[in-house]
Amino acid sequence: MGASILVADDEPNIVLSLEFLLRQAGFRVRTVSNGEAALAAIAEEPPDLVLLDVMIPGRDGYAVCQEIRANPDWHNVRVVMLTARGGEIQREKGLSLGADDYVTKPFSTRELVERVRRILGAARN
Amino acid sequence: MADTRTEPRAVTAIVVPLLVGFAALAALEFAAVALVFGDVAWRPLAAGGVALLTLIAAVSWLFIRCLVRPLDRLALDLAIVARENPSYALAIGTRHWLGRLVESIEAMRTRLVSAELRGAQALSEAQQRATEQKRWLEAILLDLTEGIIVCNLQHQVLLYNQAAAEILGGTQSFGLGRTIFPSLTREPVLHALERQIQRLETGWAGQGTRFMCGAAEAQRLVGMRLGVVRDAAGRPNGYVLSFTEVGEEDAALATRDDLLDSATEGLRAPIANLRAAAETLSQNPNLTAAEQSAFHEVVLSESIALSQRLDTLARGYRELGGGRWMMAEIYSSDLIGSLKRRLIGSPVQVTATGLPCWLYGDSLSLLVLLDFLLRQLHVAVRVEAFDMALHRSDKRIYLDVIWNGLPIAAGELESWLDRPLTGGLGPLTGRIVLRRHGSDAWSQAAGPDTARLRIPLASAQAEPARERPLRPARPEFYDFDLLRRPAPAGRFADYSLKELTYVAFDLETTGLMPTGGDEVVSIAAVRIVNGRILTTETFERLVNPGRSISEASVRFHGITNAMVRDKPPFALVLPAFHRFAADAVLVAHNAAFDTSFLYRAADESISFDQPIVDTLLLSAYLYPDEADHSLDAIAARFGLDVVDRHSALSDSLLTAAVLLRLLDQCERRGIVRLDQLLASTDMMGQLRARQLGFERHAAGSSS
Repeated sequence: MGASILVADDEPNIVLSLEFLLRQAGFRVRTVSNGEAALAAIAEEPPDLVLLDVMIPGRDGYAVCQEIRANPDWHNVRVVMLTARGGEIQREKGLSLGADDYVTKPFSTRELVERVRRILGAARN
Repeated sequence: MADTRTEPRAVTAIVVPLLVGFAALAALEFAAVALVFGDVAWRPLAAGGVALLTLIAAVSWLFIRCLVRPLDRLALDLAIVARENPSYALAIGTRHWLGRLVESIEAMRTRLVSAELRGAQALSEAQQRATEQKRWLEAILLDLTEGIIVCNLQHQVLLYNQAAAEILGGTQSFGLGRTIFPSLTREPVLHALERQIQRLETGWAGQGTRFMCGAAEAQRLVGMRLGVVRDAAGRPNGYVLSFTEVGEEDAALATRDDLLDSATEGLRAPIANLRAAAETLSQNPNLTAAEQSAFHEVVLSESIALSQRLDTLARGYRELGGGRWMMAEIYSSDLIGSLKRRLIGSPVQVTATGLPCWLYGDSLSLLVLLDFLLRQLHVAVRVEAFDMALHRSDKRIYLDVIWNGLPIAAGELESWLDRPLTGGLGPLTGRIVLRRHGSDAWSQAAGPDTARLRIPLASAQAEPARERPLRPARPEFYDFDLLRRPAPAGRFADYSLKELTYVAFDLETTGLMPTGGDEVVSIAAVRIVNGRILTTETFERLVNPGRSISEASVRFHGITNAMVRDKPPFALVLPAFHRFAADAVLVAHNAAFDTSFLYRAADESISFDQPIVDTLLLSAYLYPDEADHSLDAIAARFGLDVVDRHSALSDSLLTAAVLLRLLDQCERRGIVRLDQLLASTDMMGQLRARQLGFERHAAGSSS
């Protein structure tokens, strides 16, 4: 069975594509559209990886990421942050708060899927 | 005027009665003789008496006419010339016995007249020039769209122009002799003035401090530049403010920020959506009709959204003028020093640690933000003592607030950043201040039980340091008796190397010969406590060496004879340094040089009995393969960089930073106590001393 991925983004148009492509790639995908829902979904069943948009409504991506890292039960959850904020300082902030990777929009979907595979592969090893 | 006429007549009043009295007496005498004797034989005598009387009368008449009256006349005329009219012609005539006195006085009068004439001409020309310059100045001031105000240090307006009055909202509450507050917001002006005076004192004369300031009772925002005016002795005695209203510029800037956001962040999301949908379509030819239609719908709607955003963006940019924030170089110690002063009276305590450096930003808004964040942190994490440290990376400088405890939750920090800040800046939030600096803030663990709040900032683009020639190689003095003399005392031996308190110090001197008559011209030091360089606990004094400083030394350390003329001699500075260094291990680079000056000046009342750590010897011991153990070379190896090399403290700070790195190395090699360390360096030292002896010997025999 494929790894499980939680997509947390409030843009339905990107969620549609990500969900489709990740399923194509063999992952199990759930989607949520705000910070609280993301944390609830993780509590319900911790995914292997969260694709986390920084600017989601409610608790923003930074806060969600920090909460994931603060919970020892979610130690194995990888976090890839997606963001329209492209500055180097924002990238550094995401990584400092515990994200495994930080992807700036727009991105190549093929590359994103590759990155997700690589991160999950590294986690397994 | 009446007295001027009576005074000279006193001459006549005295001389004439005297002469008349004398003549009368002579006449009476002859008359008396003639009457008493009545004899014919005495008649010739009486006739002689009458003749004499007549002669005296004649002589007196001549005397009065040719001497006394002309003197009277002259006195009167001179009084007129001197007090009323220099052109007044002397009316003394030619019949007098005053001879060349009159000619000389006449010559003097003529010269006086022409001198007065020339003076009057010069005065009138000068007045004309002054009037003309005043007209020029008025025209220039009137023509300037920039507001100009000149103030004294009591903040009273000495000069202002029309633009200044307009920007400040008219002259109702503003004008000559009146204070500039509250027409201008007090805090930013005082802060800028303090910073500029501080800079002047440290010898760095910049082009004035630039800052933003509220005007017209905070109704407007002005971009301001402040320059200090100094008196003939170089002391600040006023300041010049030049400013423009940036209300519109500010609004344009905010608009441009928004536009830039929509250009970068705003466009990223729709393009991402579009690209993902397009890639899905192209990479998956076997989609069902329903799936295809869904992705086509995304492509269509996102393309329309993109075109609309692009139109908004283009329109916005056309409407936008230029404009930029007024940023300046800030010395981190100034920033933290000001912060400490702002926090006086609050329970929050700030300690500056690490090496200071130059930042680029708007100091007041950063100050207000840090003040706000520290107070919020104090409440949130229940900590009173915070460290502030600066860390350099390749690209930027991190300003870290460090405390014992846990990091702040991202959500809480983000909510603080959305609150308006107070402090004379208008309705700014922390987020706007950070955005203005192209920055952000986050909190993370900084080690076991310590957390930090990190704000990345730009480093100053150009080092505003004064030019300083490269340090010439200081001859290495190896006097190991000096090193051995202070035996490691028991009080120091009980602590681990990192727990000890150190004082890193450095001397500048008139020359390089401690035993050849050279003297100290400055001494600087910094304390290191628990492995932290306390940049706010420093010691820095200029010293009068009692002899002239050689030109080579002036070129090297920049301290001139004039700078030390009114400074105390080393003997008076030493007790203060002794107190500063009490209970601390002394640290110096090439310590034999510095300590030889210290020990020479010390006496019974002041002795430096604490151990000494020489970073040069320590480095030579730890890195025997390296050839160069100069401070600069070691610093370069550790990647340490003190940007503020114009400060006399810089070498002490660098020595302190080098020491901490070397102590790390010692610990790794199992040297954890001071006696171990001293034993090692001493051993090394003797080795090098022998080498040096060989070299001297070799040099001596070859010459």
